[in-house]
Amino acid sequence: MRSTTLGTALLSISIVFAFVSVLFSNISFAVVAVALIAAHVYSYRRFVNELETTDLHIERKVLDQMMFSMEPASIAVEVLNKSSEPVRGTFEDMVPEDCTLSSGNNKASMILPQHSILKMSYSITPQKRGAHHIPGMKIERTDSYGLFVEEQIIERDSLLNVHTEKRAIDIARKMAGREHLEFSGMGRNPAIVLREFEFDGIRDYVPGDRARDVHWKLLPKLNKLMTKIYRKEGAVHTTIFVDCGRSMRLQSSKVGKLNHAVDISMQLSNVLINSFHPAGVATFDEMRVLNKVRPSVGRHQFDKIVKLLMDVPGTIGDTSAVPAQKEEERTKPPKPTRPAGNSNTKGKEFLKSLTDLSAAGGPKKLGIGLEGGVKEILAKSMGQEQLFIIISDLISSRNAVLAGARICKTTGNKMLIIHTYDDWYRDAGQKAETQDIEKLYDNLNGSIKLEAAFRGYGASYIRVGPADTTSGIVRAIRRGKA
Amino acid sequence: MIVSLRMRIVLLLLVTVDLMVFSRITLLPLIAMAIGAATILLGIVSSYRIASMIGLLVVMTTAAASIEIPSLLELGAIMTAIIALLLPVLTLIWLALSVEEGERQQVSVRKIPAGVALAYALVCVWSAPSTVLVLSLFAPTVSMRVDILAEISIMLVATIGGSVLLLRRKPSGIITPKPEGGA
Repeated sequence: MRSTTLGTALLSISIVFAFVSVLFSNISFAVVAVALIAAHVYSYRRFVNELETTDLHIERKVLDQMMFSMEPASIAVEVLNKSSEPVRGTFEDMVPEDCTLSSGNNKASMILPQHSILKMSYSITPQKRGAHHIPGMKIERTDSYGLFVEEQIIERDSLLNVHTEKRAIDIARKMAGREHLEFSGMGRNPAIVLREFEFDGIRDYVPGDRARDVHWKLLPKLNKLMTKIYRKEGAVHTTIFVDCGRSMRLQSSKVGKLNHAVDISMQLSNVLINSFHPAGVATFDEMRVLNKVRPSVGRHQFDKIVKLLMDVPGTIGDTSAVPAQKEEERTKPPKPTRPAGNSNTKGKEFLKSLTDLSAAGGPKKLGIGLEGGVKEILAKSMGQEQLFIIISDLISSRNAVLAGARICKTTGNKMLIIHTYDDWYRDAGQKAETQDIEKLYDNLNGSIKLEAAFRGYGASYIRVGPADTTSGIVRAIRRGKA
Repeated sequence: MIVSLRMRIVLLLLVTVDLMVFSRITLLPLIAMAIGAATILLGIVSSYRIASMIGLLVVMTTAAASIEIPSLLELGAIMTAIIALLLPVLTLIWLALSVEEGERQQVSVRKIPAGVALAYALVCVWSAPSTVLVLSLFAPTVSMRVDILAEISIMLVATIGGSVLLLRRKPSGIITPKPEGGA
């Protein structure tokens, strides 16, 4: 608790009175000094009491349904004073980190009487994509006599999920009319309206199959219903997997790998959907599939994908970025940033499991994030050929992607890997030494070997950097460069 | 306890009269006190704290200079100190500080903090006679030689000690922001 100018002045006056009483041997001045300090004590105790009994109810609303990076979003706040005393001071709704106040006022200096409401509205501009938190409201409290001030935080957390830049969505919309991408393959569908497709076989009747697809002639022979299956050639169902692992989330330069992956997946999915190609998006990390939109060409499919990509976690600034990824560092287990405590045991286990999954040089282990997602889609596809487009830096999810490619090969499905190559996403301004260049060469060598492994599994592979646009990637795929 | 504006003005007049009654009846202190009280009144009516603080300073200085308290070892003198100076000055300080800029509203008094502050002030005033009483029990010859400066010193030591004790309490259960650059 700090003393205000008035409080300090009063205290100084009481000290002066005390000195005068000693200098002139006058008790009256000492008594006045006592009165002044007693008033100080009263003011202090009362303020402590006021602070302890404060009961503010904060209601915060984000007025925009979807927030975009670098676009202002409106926020309305209501503060209800439920305590029996008025609250004096400056109310400030705390702006999250990486956000700037663009208009309106998030501060108000006033006396908020008991059982009354303070309303504020302002807009903030998020500087980056991801989750942003408004922790609460900061109040610079002043006591009723103006002698003390104290900063108090009323916690009321609000989560703001900020999407990528609106420009990226506009590009996706523009690209949809210009670019064209299609992957053809064999599909199996019982509900064939036109009979020019090739007969594939029969299977047990499943409730929901149309009556005209039922093989009625077999009913007296087998005494059960069977359904005829036809093959048709057409667009395969495509799922774009976006890697949200910890290596993807590290941002070492202006363009983050994950941000770029989000933009690519959104634009690519719109191109596919507009080519009447069933497309969906899934996000995954080292442990699991985080979220998923099934492949479809529905009317609102793109909106669903955009909403899903809004929940992709934000990037983390990598302050200790090195020019090249050191192989020995990658193989070492990561050190926890905090000293071990009782609550860190689970964290240690988690980090250890991640290290095991991401160990590039270690023994091959199957990841459970992507692999599980691929298996689930294949299990539910009912024989429909699938295409998996994986956008990953192949660092923490490398083995999982390899396992996924192996599954695709054995099950006769397709996979395209868009490799966000880590070294290209690092800050180019750093001075490169001979050792670093050697490391870069080693990394590229490793990447080429990885590409060979993927091609061995029959998967397509394309290496991208921050300068690569989705149009360029689409053209490269169409020309067969992938 | 809620105190209205009218009640505060009445209190101000009563306190001023009390101070004037106990001060030396000369023209200069009376004029000074009247001017000080008028300034406080102006501050209260126009909700201007600075004016009331200036008025308070004038009244306090005048009252301290004009009310004579020879010693704090006599009951009469102690009662004079309390009734003529301590309580009126405390009331004046409260009246002057309770002026709030902006809307004119009723002023509330919190009983527990007010009781603590009043008890503290009385203990401070009674600290000198109490100390002398204790001293007289153990060293009767010393207590006879306690002069006015020693009384003031005892009272000031009690004031400082008491204020340190009472201002130590920190508000519990509130969250304060971390200092800039802190961990």
